[in-house]
Amino acid sequence: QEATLRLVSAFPENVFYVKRTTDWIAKVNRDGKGALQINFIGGPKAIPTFEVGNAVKTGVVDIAMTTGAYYTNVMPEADNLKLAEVSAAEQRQNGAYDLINRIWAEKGNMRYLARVVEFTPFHLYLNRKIDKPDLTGLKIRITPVYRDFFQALGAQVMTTAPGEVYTALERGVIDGYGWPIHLLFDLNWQEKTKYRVDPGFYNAEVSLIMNLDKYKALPAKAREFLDREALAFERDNEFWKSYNQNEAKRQAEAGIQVITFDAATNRAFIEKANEVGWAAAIKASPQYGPQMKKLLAR
Amino acid sequence: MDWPSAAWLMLGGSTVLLFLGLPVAFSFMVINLVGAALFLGGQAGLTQLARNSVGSVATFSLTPIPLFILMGEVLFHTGLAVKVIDGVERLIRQVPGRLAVVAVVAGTIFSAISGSTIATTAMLGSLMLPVMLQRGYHPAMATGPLMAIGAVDMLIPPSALTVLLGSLSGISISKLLIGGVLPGVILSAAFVLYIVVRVKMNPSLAPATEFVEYRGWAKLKPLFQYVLPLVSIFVVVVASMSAGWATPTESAAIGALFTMALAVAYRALTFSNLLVALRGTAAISGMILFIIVGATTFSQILSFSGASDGLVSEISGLGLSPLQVIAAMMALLIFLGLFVEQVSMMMITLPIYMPLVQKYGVDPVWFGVMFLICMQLGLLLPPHGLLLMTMKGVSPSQVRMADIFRGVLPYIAMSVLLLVLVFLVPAVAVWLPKVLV
Amino acid sequence: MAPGGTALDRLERAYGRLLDALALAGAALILAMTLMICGDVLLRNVRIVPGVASLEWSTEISEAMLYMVTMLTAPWLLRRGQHIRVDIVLRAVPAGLGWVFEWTADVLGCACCLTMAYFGARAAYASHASGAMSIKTLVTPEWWLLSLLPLAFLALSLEMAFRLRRLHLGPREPRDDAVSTG
Ligand code: NA
Ligand code: NA
Repeated sequence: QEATLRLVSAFPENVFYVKRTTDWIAKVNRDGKGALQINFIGGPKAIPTFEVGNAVKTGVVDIAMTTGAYYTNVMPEADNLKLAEVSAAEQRQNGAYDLINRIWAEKGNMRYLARVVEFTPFHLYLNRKIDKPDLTGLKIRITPVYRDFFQALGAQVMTTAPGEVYTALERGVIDGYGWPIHLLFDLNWQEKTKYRVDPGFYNAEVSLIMNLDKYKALPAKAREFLDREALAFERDNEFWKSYNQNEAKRQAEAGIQVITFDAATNRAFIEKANEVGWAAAIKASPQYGPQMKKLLAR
Repeated sequence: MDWPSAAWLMLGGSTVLLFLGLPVAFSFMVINLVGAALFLGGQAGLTQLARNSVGSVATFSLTPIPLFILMGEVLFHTGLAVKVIDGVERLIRQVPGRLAVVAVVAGTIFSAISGSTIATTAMLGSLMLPVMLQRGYHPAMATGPLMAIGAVDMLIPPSALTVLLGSLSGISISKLLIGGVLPGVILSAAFVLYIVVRVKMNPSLAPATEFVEYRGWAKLKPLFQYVLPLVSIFVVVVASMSAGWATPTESAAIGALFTMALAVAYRALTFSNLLVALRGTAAISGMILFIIVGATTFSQILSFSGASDGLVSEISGLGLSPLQVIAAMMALLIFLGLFVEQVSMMMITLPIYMPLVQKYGVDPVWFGVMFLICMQLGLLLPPHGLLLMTMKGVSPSQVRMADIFRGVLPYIAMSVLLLVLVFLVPAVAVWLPKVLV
Repeated sequence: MAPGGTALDRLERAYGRLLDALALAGAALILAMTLMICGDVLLRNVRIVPGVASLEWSTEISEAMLYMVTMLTAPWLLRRGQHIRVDIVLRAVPAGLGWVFEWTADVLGCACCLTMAYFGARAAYASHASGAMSIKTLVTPEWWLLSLLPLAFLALSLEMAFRLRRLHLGPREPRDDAVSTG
């Protein structure tokens, strides 16, 4: 018989990720007639962003499209996916995918279906020019994703509601912020941003996660179909490479200048980010942090 | 359950409980429990509901609510508010309905330093009404302007309800706050004009009375001593934002602290009146925040059940033009304003209104300012408007409810005209935020 | 209520004093929040304390305070009849029927608060049992904040019961509760 699953998004409906996901859902529903249907419930107006993880864990919803930083309350390991240097395809080969699924099952009662955003670095965006990766004296808006890194660079960090970032930039309350290479335009922040620091760091992650009980209870046919469709969605991640190039071009057209350093400094910048990131990851999860590092880092 | 049944259950059920006399917050919460069990799924859903309730008020964008209310309460309980009236009174020369004009002007100034309509109306009502009645003002003529100006307080920043509207709707809070300024000032000017013309036509409504005409420094002293320094609270709030010291949310805290500092400077702040002000702030903030707990989760469950999307697509399938939809939304708001208070008005309508605003590509600031005007209308609408009740509460017994209803009518008409003006000329609402924010 | 009275009367008064104390704590939190946010802004813009460039945690502490103010004042507001409501029907129907409406509303309210307290406790317990942490600038156990909800709703249930008792002892007519916030 036909199984119906309920999917929520941790991102608001106007974010581009949601359109990608609803397009995927449309395809699943077209091909899955008689086996599996997915019902898109909506974004944070239905389940608040930071509750999505718990809602999947307890089965209030079946599937969620979310990022690890949003459910660290379920398990701190969730935020480690941003540190992956190996691609999702490789993760399926080298055992990382299985490790993730073991942890997600044990701590979150979740099945990790697929990663649907990768090849997307975070960048530091600034309104003041710097000539070396030293943020001393700069006020940087942070989220937990890169707080440790920016602090390690000497920044004075502050948290600001997303809705206030634009005004805070305009008035100079903050001198910069961290953000993935894309989604700047969704929020109009390009209007109040002067510089982007290249290189980027980390690897923005958005994934589909599913309630484990619900996953196990699916009829075999429906489960195989879901796995196949999720994998197809993940295989489409090459899309982000060209998309991000386009976004960089749009940023240049919007007048955002690139700050970059010499090759050695660039390398040190990225290494510092990874070092700080993994140190925090291992501190938060002495049990699984090192194992994840072994399989996800290069 | 299909979405129409879900909509009936949630919207209908909460309305029935509301009219049964269950407090607003609990009316939402009872239905939330039923909705969570049905739509979010049994025990897991109910546990999720509890978690969502915590998150609903642990939200930084709501912090200006207590802070703005604190500003108004401190000004009121330290007696500094009275000084504003005194300062304005000395400046205004003989005009028809002079005391009513004084009330409107002082109230407009007070609006810019108080974020609490209740403090403004109670202050003006308790101080000016007895004087006006004693000088032979008709009760309707005396109470009308006092109620009307309390409503203007909501439009002119700081305003706790504007912050709440922005936070719930996702419309820029700073743009909404600035967007309310021009409509608020237009309304005040219209009030003054109306009072003067009306009293000129029928002088018996507000007999011209003798008053001490101050000259020279005595006329200007309270202006410099009290009015301008107090208005500097407004300047400090705006300046801290513009200079890049603070985010809009943080500037509310600076305003509250600066208000207390001024009260200390005037030696008006005592431990006991600070305590009274803080307690009053806790009470009003607590009322609003507790409703938010119930109503935020209500709107989440409504959305989860599919009723929100269903209603939105039903309405957008009617083939109406954006302007027709906006007009219908405003009409429904005014109708709701007859029965329910401002916070519930927002809570009931926003989950449906905002998706429609997005769908039709309507300028959210324009929409938000019209929403504010409808809410301030709700403050004035019989039989339940907050300001009518507040006015009755501070009036001597010779003032009958009928006087209050009659007194407020012209001001309701002017507010409706303002709404029409903003509807036809959106620039009234969106021009200032465009220039300043 | 006259002084003295039955043991229940005394209990009710004592409980009222407890609710007063909770609300006072809520009022103190509002003052503390004001000072903390201003302190953060000051430290960020003027380096008065060497090595302290801002109170990075001030945002999340403010959020927690806002929630605590809500929970601390809710039972006190119920005692004072300040949870606003719509009384248009209560006033329109005969007094006796209005009283019956009040009674029904209180019973529903009491049941609602007990249910919320129960599931709030389950949420807090589940979070505690799984060791869930709230990972922000400050890393704290998630149940710290979650556990306040069931306590507040337990306090509300108790006050709902006292409210029902007052209704029962009072005249057979609707009460004079607040109808607006302001
Ligand atoms: Na105001
Ligand atoms: Na106000």
